[in-house]
Amino acid sequence: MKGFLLSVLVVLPVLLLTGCEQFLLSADPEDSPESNFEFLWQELNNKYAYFDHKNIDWHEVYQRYRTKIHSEMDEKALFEVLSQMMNELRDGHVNLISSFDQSRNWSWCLDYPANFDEMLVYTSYLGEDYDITGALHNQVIDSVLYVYYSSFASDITQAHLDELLEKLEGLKGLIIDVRNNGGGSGANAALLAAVLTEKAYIYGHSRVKIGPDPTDFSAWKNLTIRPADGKRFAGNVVLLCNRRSYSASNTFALMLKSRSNVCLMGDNTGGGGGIPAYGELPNGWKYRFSASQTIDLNGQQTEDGIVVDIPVALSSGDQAKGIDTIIEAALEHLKNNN
Amino acid sequence: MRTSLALCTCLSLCCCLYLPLCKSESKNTLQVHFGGGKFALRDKSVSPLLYQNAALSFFLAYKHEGPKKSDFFQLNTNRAVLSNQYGNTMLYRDFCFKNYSLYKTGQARLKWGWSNNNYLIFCEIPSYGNFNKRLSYVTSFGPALCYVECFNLFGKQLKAELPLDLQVLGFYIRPSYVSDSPEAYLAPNGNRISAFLASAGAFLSNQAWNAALNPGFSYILSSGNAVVIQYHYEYLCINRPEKLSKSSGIWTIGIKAML
Repeated sequence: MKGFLLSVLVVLPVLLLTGCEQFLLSADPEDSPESNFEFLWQELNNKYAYFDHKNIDWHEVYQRYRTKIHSEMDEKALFEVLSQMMNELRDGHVNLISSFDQSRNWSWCLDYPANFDEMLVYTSYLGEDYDITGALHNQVIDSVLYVYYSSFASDITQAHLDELLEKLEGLKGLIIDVRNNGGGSGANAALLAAVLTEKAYIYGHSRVKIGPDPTDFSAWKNLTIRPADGKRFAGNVVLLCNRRSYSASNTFALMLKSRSNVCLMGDNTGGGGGIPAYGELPNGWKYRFSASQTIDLNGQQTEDGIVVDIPVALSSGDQAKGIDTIIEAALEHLKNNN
Repeated sequence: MRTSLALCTCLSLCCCLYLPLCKSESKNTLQVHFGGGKFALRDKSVSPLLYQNAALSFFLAYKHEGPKKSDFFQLNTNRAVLSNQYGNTMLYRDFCFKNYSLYKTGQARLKWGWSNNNYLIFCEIPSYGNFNKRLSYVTSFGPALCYVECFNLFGKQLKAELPLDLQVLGFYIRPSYVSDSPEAYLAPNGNRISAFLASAGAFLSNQAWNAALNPGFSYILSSGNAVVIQYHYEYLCINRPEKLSKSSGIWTIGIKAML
Protein backbone atom coordinates (compact mmCIF):
# COMPACT_ATOMS: atom_id res chain seq x y z
CA MET A 1 0.00 0.00 0.00
CA LYS A 2 2.87 2.34 0.86
CA GLY A 3 4.53 1.60 -2.47
CA PHE A 4 1.30 2.35 -4.31
CA LEU A 5 0.96 5.69 -2.61
CA LEU A 6 4.56 6.58 -3.40
CA SER A 7 4.14 5.70 -7.07
CA VAL A 8 1.02 7.83 -7.21
CA LEU A 9 3.18 10.69 -5.97
CA VAL A 10 5.33 10.26 -9.07
CA VAL A 11 2.43 9.89 -11.49
CA LEU A 12 0.13 12.52 -10.02
CA PRO A 13 1.98 15.55 -11.39
CA VAL A 14 1.86 14.06 -14.87
CA LEU A 15 -1.87 13.50 -14.57
CA LEU A 16 -2.37 17.03 -13.34
CA LEU A 17 -0.20 18.76 -15.89
CA THR A 18 -0.47 16.80 -19.11
CA GLY A 19 -2.51 18.68 -21.67
CA CYS A 20 -3.04 21.55 -19.29
CA GLU A 21 -0.12 23.69 -20.43
CA GLN A 22 -2.27 26.47 -21.82
CA PHE A 23 -4.64 26.46 -18.84
CA LEU A 24 -1.82 27.38 -16.49
CA LEU A 25 -1.48 30.68 -18.33
CA SER A 26 -4.22 33.25 -18.04
CA ALA A 27 -6.94 33.38 -20.67
CA ASP A 28 -6.73 35.70 -23.67
CA PRO A 29 -8.00 39.22 -22.97
CA GLU A 30 -11.62 40.02 -23.74
CA ASP A 31 -12.28 40.69 -27.43
CA SER A 32 -14.88 43.44 -27.61
CA PRO A 33 -14.93 46.82 -29.38
CA GLU A 34 -14.37 48.51 -26.04
CA SER A 35 -11.45 46.31 -25.00
CA ASN A 36 -9.73 46.63 -28.40
CA PHE A 37 -10.13 50.40 -28.33
CA GLU A 38 -8.78 50.66 -24.79
CA PHE A 39 -5.85 48.37 -25.56
CA LEU A 40 -4.84 50.26 -28.71
CA TRP A 41 -5.20 53.68 -27.10
CA GLN A 42 -3.15 52.60 -24.07
CA GLU A 43 -0.38 50.97 -26.13
CA LEU A 44 0.02 54.07 -28.27
CA ASN A 45 -0.14 56.27 -25.18
CA ASN A 46 2.78 54.35 -23.71
CA LYS A 47 4.85 53.81 -26.83
CA TYR A 48 4.11 56.35 -29.57
CA ALA A 49 7.01 58.80 -29.82
CA TYR A 50 5.66 62.00 -31.40
CA PHE A 51 2.76 63.28 -29.26
CA ASP A 52 4.90 66.09 -27.93
CA HIS A 53 6.59 67.00 -31.20
CA LYS A 54 3.30 67.01 -33.14
CA ASN A 55 1.42 68.72 -30.35
CA ILE A 56 -1.21 65.97 -30.14
CA ASP A 57 -3.35 65.73 -27.01
CA TRP A 58 -3.86 61.96 -26.95
CA HIS A 59 -6.20 62.15 -23.93
CA GLU A 60 -8.43 64.55 -25.84
CA VAL A 61 -8.37 62.10 -28.77
CA TYR A 62 -9.50 59.39 -26.33
CA GLN A 63 -12.49 61.44 -25.22
CA ARG A 64 -13.51 62.15 -28.81
CA TYR A 65 -13.24 58.58 -30.09
CA ARG A 66 -14.38 56.64 -27.01
CA THR A 67 -17.92 57.92 -27.54
CA LYS A 68 -17.93 56.33 -31.02
CA ILE A 69 -17.24 52.86 -29.59
CA HIS A 70 -20.15 50.65 -28.56
CA SER A 71 -20.52 46.94 -27.99
CA GLU A 72 -22.92 46.35 -30.92
CA MET A 73 -20.67 47.73 -33.66
CA ASP A 74 -19.36 45.26 -36.24
CA GLU A 75 -15.66 44.76 -36.98
CA LYS A 76 -15.64 47.01 -40.05
CA ALA A 77 -17.19 49.87 -38.11
CA LEU A 78 -14.65 49.32 -35.34
CA PHE A 79 -11.83 49.26 -37.88
CA GLU A 80 -13.04 52.56 -39.31
CA VAL A 81 -13.09 54.31 -35.92
CA LEU A 82 -9.72 52.93 -34.83
CA SER A 83 -8.19 53.90 -38.19
CA GLN A 84 -9.50 57.44 -37.84
CA MET A 85 -8.06 57.63 -34.35
CA MET A 86 -4.66 56.45 -35.58
CA ASN A 87 -4.72 58.93 -38.46
CA GLU A 88 -4.82 61.70 -35.87
CA LEU A 89 -1.11 60.89 -35.48
CA ARG A 90 -0.38 62.07 -39.08
CA ASP A 91 2.36 59.48 -39.41
CA GLY A 92 3.30 57.26 -42.37
CA HIS A 93 4.62 54.66 -39.95
CA VAL A 94 1.21 54.23 -38.33
CA ASN A 95 -1.08 51.48 -39.63
CA LEU A 96 -3.89 49.27 -38.47
CA ILE A 97 -3.79 45.91 -40.25
CA SER A 98 -6.77 43.57 -40.38
CA SER A 99 -7.56 40.66 -42.67
CA PHE A 100 -9.81 42.93 -44.77
CA ASP A 101 -8.02 46.30 -44.82
CA GLN A 102 -4.99 48.32 -43.78
CA SER A 103 -5.27 51.90 -42.60
CA ARG A 104 -2.52 54.30 -43.66
CA ASN A 105 -1.57 57.95 -43.76
CA TRP A 106 0.18 59.27 -46.84
CA SER A 107 -0.13 63.01 -46.17
CA TRP A 108 3.68 63.14 -46.03
CA CYS A 109 3.87 62.73 -49.82
CA LEU A 110 0.48 63.09 -51.50
CA ASP A 111 0.31 66.86 -51.06
CA TYR A 112 3.66 67.43 -52.77
CA PRO A 113 4.95 67.32 -56.35
CA ALA A 114 6.25 63.95 -57.52
CA ASN A 115 9.63 65.17 -58.80
CA PHE A 116 10.26 61.71 -60.20
CA ASP A 117 9.41 59.78 -63.33
CA GLU A 118 10.76 56.24 -63.17
CA MET A 119 10.12 55.57 -66.86
CA LEU A 120 12.19 58.63 -67.71
CA VAL A 121 15.06 57.37 -65.59
CA TYR A 122 15.06 54.00 -67.34
CA THR A 123 14.56 55.26 -70.89
CA SER A 124 16.80 58.35 -70.86
CA TYR A 125 19.50 57.57 -68.31
CA LEU A 126 19.84 53.91 -67.37
CA GLY A 127 19.17 52.83 -70.97
CA GLU A 128 19.01 49.23 -72.04
CA ASP A 129 22.50 48.23 -70.99
CA TYR A 130 22.53 49.31 -67.34
CA ASP A 131 24.02 46.98 -64.74
CA ILE A 132 21.96 45.38 -62.00
CA THR A 133 24.31 45.05 -59.03
CA GLY A 134 22.09 43.47 -56.42
CA ALA A 135 19.31 45.99 -55.86
CA LEU A 136 21.42 48.81 -57.30
CA HIS A 137 20.62 49.65 -60.93
CA ASN A 138 23.56 51.61 -62.30
CA GLN A 139 25.01 53.20 -65.40
CA VAL A 140 27.98 55.43 -66.18
CA ILE A 141 26.68 58.76 -67.58
CA ASP A 142 29.18 61.45 -68.65
CA SER A 143 31.95 60.01 -66.47
CA VAL A 144 29.61 59.90 -63.45
CA LEU A 145 28.22 56.71 -61.92
CA TYR A 146 24.45 56.96 -61.55
CA VAL A 147 22.90 54.48 -59.09
CA TYR A 148 19.16 54.08 -58.68
CA TYR A 149 18.14 52.34 -55.43
CA SER A 150 14.36 51.89 -55.49
CA SER A 151 13.84 50.27 -52.06
CA PHE A 152 15.92 49.79 -48.94
CA ALA A 153 13.84 46.66 -48.40
CA SER A 154 16.01 45.05 -51.11
CA ASP A 155 19.21 43.98 -49.41
CA ILE A 156 22.64 44.97 -50.61
CA THR A 157 25.97 43.40 -49.66
CA GLN A 158 29.56 44.54 -49.36
CA ALA A 159 30.29 42.59 -52.56
CA HIS A 160 27.71 44.70 -54.43
CA LEU A 161 29.28 47.88 -53.12
CA ASP A 162 32.81 46.70 -53.93
CA GLU A 163 31.68 46.17 -57.51
CA LEU A 164 30.28 49.73 -57.70
CA LEU A 165 33.40 51.20 -56.11
CA GLU A 166 35.53 49.47 -58.70
CA LYS A 167 33.46 51.09 -61.45
CA LEU A 168 33.88 54.47 -59.77
CA GLU A 169 37.64 54.48 -60.22
CA GLY A 170 38.61 57.36 -62.52
CA LEU A 171 35.07 58.79 -62.64
CA LYS A 172 34.05 62.32 -61.62
CA GLY A 173 31.58 61.33 -58.95
CA LEU A 174 28.60 59.35 -57.81
CA ILE A 175 24.86 60.04 -57.99
CA ILE A 176 22.67 57.97 -55.66
CA ASP A 177 18.99 58.27 -56.50
CA VAL A 178 16.58 57.37 -53.67
CA ARG A 179 13.58 59.24 -55.05
CA ASN A 180 10.39 57.26 -54.44
CA ASN A 181 12.39 54.90 -52.19
CA GLY A 182 9.83 54.39 -49.43
CA GLY A 183 12.32 52.78 -47.03
CA GLY A 184 13.08 49.31 -45.77
CA SER A 185 16.06 48.21 -43.73
CA GLY A 186 18.20 50.83 -42.04
CA ALA A 187 21.04 48.29 -42.15
CA ASN A 188 21.21 48.70 -45.94
CA ALA A 189 21.37 52.47 -45.52
CA ALA A 190 24.20 52.14 -42.98
CA LEU A 191 26.11 49.72 -45.23
CA LEU A 192 25.93 52.16 -48.14
CA ALA A 193 26.90 55.16 -46.00
CA ALA A 194 29.87 53.23 -44.58
CA VAL A 195 31.64 53.08 -47.96
CA LEU A 196 31.32 56.85 -48.39
CA THR A 197 33.44 57.84 -45.41
CA GLU A 198 37.06 57.45 -44.40
CA LYS A 199 36.43 57.91 -40.69
CA ALA A 200 33.68 57.31 -38.13
CA TYR A 201 31.21 60.13 -37.57
CA ILE A 202 28.07 60.86 -35.58
CA TYR A 203 25.18 61.81 -37.81
CA GLY A 204 22.30 62.19 -35.37
CA HIS A 205 20.73 61.12 -32.10
CA SER A 206 17.87 58.80 -31.25
CA ARG A 207 15.71 58.05 -28.24
CA VAL A 208 12.90 55.63 -27.48
CA LYS A 209 9.50 56.32 -25.88
CA ILE A 210 9.43 54.40 -22.60
CA GLY A 211 6.37 55.53 -20.66
CA PRO A 212 2.89 57.04 -20.69
CA ASP A 213 3.87 60.68 -20.34
CA PRO A 214 4.52 62.37 -23.71
CA THR A 215 7.98 63.28 -22.42
CA ASP A 216 8.93 59.78 -21.16
CA PHE A 217 11.97 58.87 -23.25
CA SER A 218 15.23 57.02 -22.91
CA ALA A 219 18.43 59.08 -23.02
CA TRP A 220 19.55 60.36 -26.41
CA LYS A 221 21.89 57.93 -28.08
CA ASN A 222 24.46 58.86 -30.69
CA LEU A 223 23.93 57.46 -34.16
CA THR A 224 27.28 56.63 -35.71
CA ILE A 225 28.59 55.52 -39.08
CA ARG A 226 31.89 53.68 -39.11
CA PRO A 227 33.87 53.30 -42.34
CA ALA A 228 33.61 50.01 -44.20
CA ASP A 229 36.57 47.65 -43.88
CA GLY A 230 36.97 47.16 -47.62
CA LYS A 231 36.91 49.65 -50.51
CA ARG A 232 35.62 53.17 -49.90
CA PHE A 233 34.84 56.24 -52.00
CA ALA A 234 35.93 59.69 -50.86
CA GLY A 235 34.93 61.62 -53.98
CA ASN A 236 31.92 63.84 -54.60
CA VAL A 237 28.46 62.39 -54.15
CA VAL A 238 25.01 63.76 -54.98
CA LEU A 239 22.00 62.20 -53.29
CA LEU A 240 18.71 62.70 -55.12
CA CYS A 241 15.60 62.81 -52.92
CA ASN A 242 11.93 63.65 -53.14
CA ARG A 243 8.98 63.64 -50.75
CA ARG A 244 8.55 59.93 -51.32
CA SER A 245 12.02 59.27 -49.93
CA TYR A 246 10.69 58.00 -46.63
CA SER A 247 11.76 56.07 -43.51
CA ALA A 248 15.12 54.35 -44.26
CA SER A 249 15.64 56.75 -47.19
CA ASN A 250 15.07 59.62 -44.78
CA THR A 251 17.63 58.05 -42.45
CA PHE A 252 20.07 57.60 -45.35
CA ALA A 253 19.70 61.29 -46.23
CA LEU A 254 20.40 62.11 -42.57
CA MET A 255 23.50 59.89 -42.66
CA LEU A 256 24.87 61.81 -45.66
CA LYS A 257 23.61 65.29 -44.74
CA SER A 258 26.62 66.19 -42.61
CA ARG A 259 29.22 64.94 -45.12
CA SER A 260 31.20 67.72 -46.79
CA ASN A 261 31.60 65.72 -50.01
CA VAL A 262 27.86 64.99 -50.32
CA CYS A 263 25.19 67.26 -51.74
CA LEU A 264 21.47 66.53 -51.22
CA MET A 265 19.47 67.59 -54.25
CA GLY A 266 15.84 67.50 -55.41
CA ASP A 267 13.03 67.91 -52.89
CA ASN A 268 13.09 67.46 -49.10
CA THR A 269 12.59 63.89 -47.94
CA GLY A 270 9.19 62.78 -46.65
CA GLY A 271 10.23 62.03 -43.07
CA GLY A 272 9.52 58.91 -41.07
CA GLY A 273 12.23 59.45 -38.48
CA GLY A 274 10.84 57.03 -35.92
CA ILE A 275 11.50 53.32 -35.83
CA PRO A 276 8.25 51.54 -36.63
CA ALA A 277 7.32 48.87 -34.09
CA TYR A 278 4.42 46.40 -34.19
CA GLY A 279 1.82 45.06 -31.84
CA GLU A 280 -1.34 42.97 -31.80
CA LEU A 281 -4.82 43.72 -30.51
CA PRO A 282 -6.97 41.28 -28.55
CA ASN A 283 -8.96 40.64 -31.77
CA GLY A 284 -5.80 39.64 -33.69
CA TRP A 285 -5.44 42.84 -35.75
CA LYS A 286 -1.91 44.17 -35.96
CA TYR A 287 -0.86 47.76 -35.58
CA ARG A 288 2.31 49.69 -36.38
CA PHE A 289 3.56 52.93 -34.86
CA SER A 290 6.69 55.09 -34.49
CA ALA A 291 8.47 54.00 -31.32
CA SER A 292 11.42 56.38 -31.35
CA GLN A 293 12.52 59.89 -32.27
CA THR A 294 15.55 60.82 -34.35
CA ILE A 295 17.12 64.28 -34.51
CA ASP A 296 19.92 65.65 -36.66
CA LEU A 297 23.09 67.27 -35.35
CA ASN A 298 21.24 70.59 -34.98
CA GLY A 299 18.48 69.04 -32.89
CA GLN A 300 15.89 69.07 -35.70
CA GLN A 301 13.38 66.21 -35.76
CA THR A 302 13.84 64.07 -38.87
CA GLU A 303 10.16 63.07 -38.67
CA ASP A 304 9.52 66.23 -40.69
CA GLY A 305 11.97 65.23 -43.43
CA ILE A 306 15.54 66.21 -44.32
CA VAL A 307 16.03 69.54 -46.06
CA VAL A 308 18.05 69.22 -49.27
CA ASP A 309 21.11 71.41 -49.94
CA ILE A 310 20.02 72.36 -53.45
CA PRO A 311 16.28 72.27 -54.17
CA VAL A 312 15.57 71.27 -57.76
CA ALA A 313 12.13 70.50 -59.21
CA LEU A 314 11.40 68.22 -62.12
CA SER A 315 10.23 70.49 -64.91
CA SER A 316 7.27 69.22 -66.92
CA GLY A 317 8.80 70.81 -70.02
CA ASP A 318 12.02 68.84 -69.51
CA GLN A 319 10.05 65.73 -68.71
CA ALA A 320 8.22 66.02 -72.04
CA LYS A 321 11.59 66.22 -73.79
CA GLY A 322 12.87 63.11 -72.03
CA ILE A 323 15.04 65.07 -69.60
CA ASP A 324 15.12 64.63 -65.83
CA THR A 325 15.88 68.11 -64.52
CA ILE A 326 17.16 66.79 -61.21
CA ILE A 327 19.60 64.27 -62.70
CA GLU A 328 20.86 66.92 -65.11
CA ALA A 329 21.45 69.32 -62.21
CA ALA A 330 23.34 66.60 -60.35
CA LEU A 331 25.55 65.86 -63.38
CA GLU A 332 26.26 69.56 -63.75
CA HIS A 333 27.06 69.89 -60.06
CA LEU A 334 29.59 67.06 -60.18
CA LYS A 335 31.16 68.44 -63.39
CA ASN A 336 31.60 71.88 -61.79
CA ASN A 337 32.96 70.52 -58.53
CA ASN A 338 35.78 68.46 -59.96
CA MET B 1 -4.50 14.96 -24.39
CA ARG B 2 -6.15 11.52 -24.71
CA THR B 3 -2.81 9.87 -25.56
CA SER B 4 -1.20 11.48 -22.56
CA LEU B 5 -3.95 10.30 -20.26
CA ALA B 6 -3.68 6.77 -21.64
CA LEU B 7 0.05 6.73 -21.01
CA CYS B 8 -0.43 8.02 -17.49
CA THR B 9 -3.04 5.37 -16.80
CA CYS B 10 -0.69 2.62 -17.98
CA LEU B 11 2.11 3.98 -15.83
CA SER B 12 -0.20 4.16 -12.82
CA LEU B 13 -1.30 0.54 -13.31
CA CYS B 14 2.31 -0.54 -13.55
CA CYS B 15 3.10 1.25 -10.33
CA CYS B 16 0.25 -0.49 -8.55
CA LEU B 17 1.79 -3.85 -9.32
CA TYR B 18 5.40 -3.28 -8.52
CA LEU B 19 7.56 -4.84 -5.84
CA PRO B 20 9.96 -2.37 -4.24
CA LEU B 21 13.52 -3.28 -5.02
CA CYS B 22 16.38 -0.91 -5.67
CA LYS B 23 19.46 -2.03 -7.47
CA SER B 24 22.57 0.03 -7.74
CA GLU B 25 22.97 1.77 -11.08
CA SER B 26 25.99 2.76 -13.10
CA LYS B 27 28.01 5.63 -11.70
CA ASN B 28 28.07 7.51 -15.00
CA THR B 29 25.28 7.52 -17.53
CA LEU B 30 24.50 9.30 -20.76
CA GLN B 31 20.89 9.89 -21.79
CA VAL B 32 19.50 10.79 -25.20
CA HIS B 33 15.80 11.65 -25.45
CA PHE B 34 13.52 12.68 -28.30
CA GLY B 35 9.95 13.68 -28.00
CA GLY B 36 7.20 16.16 -28.42
CA GLY B 37 4.48 17.88 -26.56
CA LYS B 38 2.70 21.12 -26.15
CA PHE B 39 4.01 24.66 -25.77
CA ALA B 40 2.03 27.69 -24.70
CA LEU B 41 3.58 31.15 -24.64
CA ARG B 42 2.38 34.67 -23.99
CA ASP B 43 4.86 37.49 -24.49
CA LYS B 44 3.10 40.77 -23.85
CA SER B 45 5.90 42.70 -25.51
CA VAL B 46 4.68 41.06 -28.71
CA SER B 47 0.98 40.40 -28.17
CA PRO B 48 -1.57 40.00 -25.38
CA LEU B 49 -2.65 36.75 -27.04
CA LEU B 50 -1.62 33.22 -26.19
CA TYR B 51 0.50 31.43 -28.79
CA GLN B 52 0.53 27.65 -28.58
CA ASN B 53 1.12 24.48 -30.55
CA ALA B 54 2.92 21.14 -30.58
CA ALA B 55 6.69 21.21 -30.21
CA LEU B 56 9.61 18.93 -31.02
CA SER B 57 12.23 18.33 -28.34
CA PHE B 58 15.69 16.84 -27.98
CA PHE B 59 17.51 16.16 -24.72
CA LEU B 60 21.09 15.08 -24.06
CA ALA B 61 22.03 14.46 -20.44
CA TYR B 62 24.99 13.22 -18.43
CA LYS B 63 24.64 11.96 -14.86
CA HIS B 64 27.30 11.08 -12.35
CA GLU B 65 26.25 9.30 -9.19
CA GLY B 66 28.69 9.33 -6.30
CA PRO B 67 28.25 7.74 -2.90
CA LYS B 68 26.81 10.94 -1.43
CA LYS B 69 26.29 13.32 -4.32
CA SER B 70 24.75 13.12 -7.80
CA ASP B 71 25.51 15.58 -10.59
CA PHE B 72 23.22 15.93 -13.57
CA PHE B 73 23.87 18.04 -16.68
CA GLN B 74 21.27 18.38 -19.41
CA LEU B 75 21.19 20.08 -22.80
CA ASN B 76 17.76 20.58 -24.29
CA THR B 77 16.36 22.25 -27.38
CA ASN B 78 12.73 22.74 -28.42
CA ARG B 79 11.23 23.94 -31.67
CA ALA B 80 7.69 24.88 -32.56
CA VAL B 81 5.57 26.99 -34.85
CA LEU B 82 3.17 28.57 -32.39
CA SER B 83 -0.03 30.28 -33.40
CA ASN B 84 -2.72 32.31 -31.70
CA GLN B 85 -6.46 31.83 -31.98
CA TYR B 86 -6.54 34.04 -35.10
CA GLY B 87 -3.90 32.03 -36.94
CA ASN B 88 -1.03 34.51 -36.59
CA THR B 89 2.20 32.56 -36.19
CA MET B 90 5.39 32.78 -34.18
CA LEU B 91 8.49 30.69 -34.79
CA TYR B 92 9.78 29.45 -31.44
CA ARG B 93 13.16 27.94 -30.56
CA ASP B 94 14.87 27.52 -27.24
CA PHE B 95 18.12 26.14 -25.96
CA CYS B 96 18.52 25.15 -22.35
CA PHE B 97 21.42 23.98 -20.23
CA LYS B 98 20.34 22.75 -16.83
CA ASN B 99 22.29 21.10 -14.05
CA TYR B 100 21.44 19.57 -10.69
CA SER B 101 23.69 18.77 -7.74
CA LEU B 102 21.77 16.48 -5.42
CA TYR B 103 22.77 15.05 -2.04
CA LYS B 104 21.49 11.89 -0.39
CA THR B 105 19.36 12.35 2.71
CA GLY B 106 18.40 10.06 5.56
CA GLN B 107 15.54 8.93 3.33
CA ALA B 108 17.02 6.58 0.75
CA ARG B 109 14.47 7.59 -1.85
CA LEU B 110 14.90 11.34 -1.53
CA LYS B 111 17.78 13.53 -2.67
CA TRP B 112 17.97 17.28 -2.40
CA GLY B 113 20.33 20.00 -3.48
CA TRP B 114 20.40 22.89 -5.91
CA SER B 115 19.89 23.46 -9.60
CA ASN B 116 20.99 25.94 -12.23
CA ASN B 117 19.04 26.75 -15.38
CA ASN B 118 20.36 28.63 -18.42
CA TYR B 119 17.70 29.42 -20.95
CA LEU B 120 17.91 31.05 -24.37
CA ILE B 121 14.55 31.70 -26.01
CA PHE B 122 14.31 32.89 -29.60
CA CYS B 123 10.98 33.97 -31.09
CA GLU B 124 10.31 35.34 -34.53
CA ILE B 125 7.06 36.90 -35.68
CA PRO B 126 7.29 36.84 -39.48
CA SER B 127 4.48 39.33 -39.98
CA TYR B 128 6.18 42.08 -37.95
CA GLY B 129 8.42 44.24 -40.13
CA ASN B 130 10.67 45.40 -37.30
CA PHE B 131 11.57 43.95 -33.91
CA ASN B 132 10.37 40.64 -35.29
CA LYS B 133 13.26 38.61 -33.84
CA ARG B 134 13.18 38.54 -30.09
CA LEU B 135 15.76 36.97 -27.86
CA SER B 136 15.34 36.32 -24.13
CA TYR B 137 17.97 34.84 -21.86
CA VAL B 138 17.68 33.57 -18.27
CA THR B 139 20.30 32.26 -15.87
CA SER B 140 18.94 31.25 -12.49
CA PHE B 141 19.62 29.14 -9.41
CA GLY B 142 17.36 27.48 -6.90
CA PRO B 143 16.62 24.44 -4.76
CA ALA B 144 16.01 21.02 -6.27
CA LEU B 145 14.95 17.62 -5.05
CA CYS B 146 14.51 14.21 -6.57
CA TYR B 147 12.36 11.32 -5.41
CA VAL B 148 13.51 7.88 -6.63
CA GLU B 149 11.66 4.58 -6.37
CA CYS B 150 13.03 1.30 -7.74
CA PHE B 151 10.92 -1.82 -8.12
CA ASN B 152 10.38 -5.10 -9.96
CA LEU B 153 7.46 -5.70 -12.28
CA PHE B 154 6.96 -9.17 -13.74
CA GLY B 155 10.60 -9.84 -12.99
CA LYS B 156 11.80 -6.69 -14.81
CA GLN B 157 13.59 -3.89 -13.08
CA LEU B 158 11.94 -0.48 -13.20
CA LYS B 159 12.80 2.85 -11.69
CA ALA B 160 10.57 5.86 -11.10
CA GLU B 161 12.14 9.29 -10.65
CA LEU B 162 10.62 12.66 -9.88
CA PRO B 163 13.12 15.52 -10.13
CA LEU B 164 11.77 18.94 -9.23
CA ASP B 165 13.41 22.36 -9.24
CA LEU B 166 12.38 25.90 -8.42
CA GLN B 167 14.53 28.79 -9.63
CA VAL B 168 14.65 31.73 -7.24
CA LEU B 169 17.68 33.90 -8.01
CA GLY B 170 19.51 34.94 -11.14
CA PHE B 171 19.28 37.41 -13.98
CA TYR B 172 17.55 37.71 -17.31
CA ILE B 173 17.92 39.66 -20.54
CA ARG B 174 14.68 40.56 -22.25
CA PRO B 175 14.23 41.94 -25.76
CA SER B 176 13.77 45.66 -26.05
CA TYR B 177 14.21 48.44 -28.53
CA VAL B 178 17.91 48.56 -27.67
CA SER B 179 18.63 44.85 -27.78
CA ASP B 180 16.60 43.84 -30.77
CA SER B 181 16.54 44.22 -34.48
CA PRO B 182 16.68 46.35 -36.47
CA GLU B 183 19.98 46.95 -34.71
CA ALA B 184 21.35 49.15 -37.45
CA TYR B 185 18.53 51.62 -37.00
CA LEU B 186 19.50 52.65 -33.52
CA ALA B 187 23.18 51.84 -33.55
CA PRO B 188 24.67 51.31 -36.98
CA ASN B 189 27.85 49.29 -36.57
CA GLY B 190 27.33 49.74 -32.82
CA ASN B 191 28.22 47.48 -29.95
CA ARG B 192 25.40 44.97 -29.73
CA ILE B 193 26.73 43.49 -26.50
CA SER B 194 26.48 46.77 -24.60
CA ALA B 195 22.99 47.32 -25.97
CA PHE B 196 22.06 43.81 -24.93
CA LEU B 197 23.33 44.28 -21.40
CA ALA B 198 21.13 47.34 -21.09
CA SER B 199 18.17 44.97 -21.24
CA ALA B 200 19.27 42.86 -18.26
CA GLY B 201 17.27 42.51 -15.05
CA ALA B 202 17.45 40.64 -11.76
CA PHE B 203 15.65 37.30 -11.57
CA LEU B 204 14.01 37.61 -8.17
CA SER B 205 11.02 35.76 -6.83
CA ASN B 206 8.65 38.72 -7.13
CA GLN B 207 9.68 39.40 -10.72
CA ALA B 208 10.33 36.01 -12.25
CA TRP B 209 9.46 32.36 -11.79
CA ASN B 210 10.81 29.16 -13.22
CA ALA B 211 9.86 25.69 -12.05
CA ALA B 212 10.28 22.30 -13.65
CA LEU B 213 9.00 18.82 -12.93
CA ASN B 214 10.33 15.81 -14.84
CA PRO B 215 8.72 12.54 -13.70
CA GLY B 216 10.07 9.53 -15.56
CA PHE B 217 10.17 5.74 -15.62
CA SER B 218 13.21 3.69 -16.58
CA TYR B 219 12.99 0.10 -17.80
CA ILE B 220 16.37 -1.34 -16.91
CA LEU B 221 17.79 -3.79 -19.43
CA SER B 222 19.97 -6.75 -18.54
CA SER B 223 23.02 -4.85 -19.81
CA GLY B 224 22.39 -2.18 -17.20
CA ASN B 225 21.31 0.35 -19.83
CA ALA B 226 17.75 1.57 -19.66
CA VAL B 227 14.85 2.74 -21.81
CA VAL B 228 13.33 5.87 -20.30
CA ILE B 229 9.93 7.47 -20.69
CA GLN B 230 9.81 10.95 -19.22
CA TYR B 231 7.46 13.88 -18.99
CA HIS B 232 9.07 17.34 -18.82
CA TYR B 233 6.87 20.08 -17.47
CA GLU B 234 8.25 23.61 -17.18
CA TYR B 235 6.78 26.96 -16.25
CA LEU B 236 8.62 30.23 -16.81
CA CYS B 237 7.42 33.72 -16.03
CA ILE B 238 9.29 37.04 -16.28
CA ASN B 239 7.23 40.05 -15.25
CA ARG B 240 9.43 42.89 -16.53
CA PRO B 241 9.52 44.95 -18.61
CA GLU B 242 6.47 43.29 -20.15
CA LYS B 243 5.28 39.94 -18.90
CA LEU B 244 6.45 36.76 -20.58
CA SER B 245 4.93 33.47 -19.44
CA LYS B 246 5.55 30.04 -20.87
CA SER B 247 4.22 26.63 -20.00
CA SER B 248 5.33 23.45 -21.71
CA GLY B 249 4.73 19.75 -21.30
CA ILE B 250 6.91 17.39 -23.32
CA TRP B 251 6.80 13.58 -23.49
CA THR B 252 10.08 11.95 -24.43
CA ILE B 253 11.42 8.47 -24.92
CA GLY B 254 15.12 7.82 -24.71
CA ILE B 255 18.01 5.60 -23.85
CA LYS B 256 20.17 5.77 -20.76
CA ALA B 257 23.58 4.24 -21.47
CA MET B 258 26.22 3.32 -18.94
CA LEU B 259 29.64 4.85 -19.48
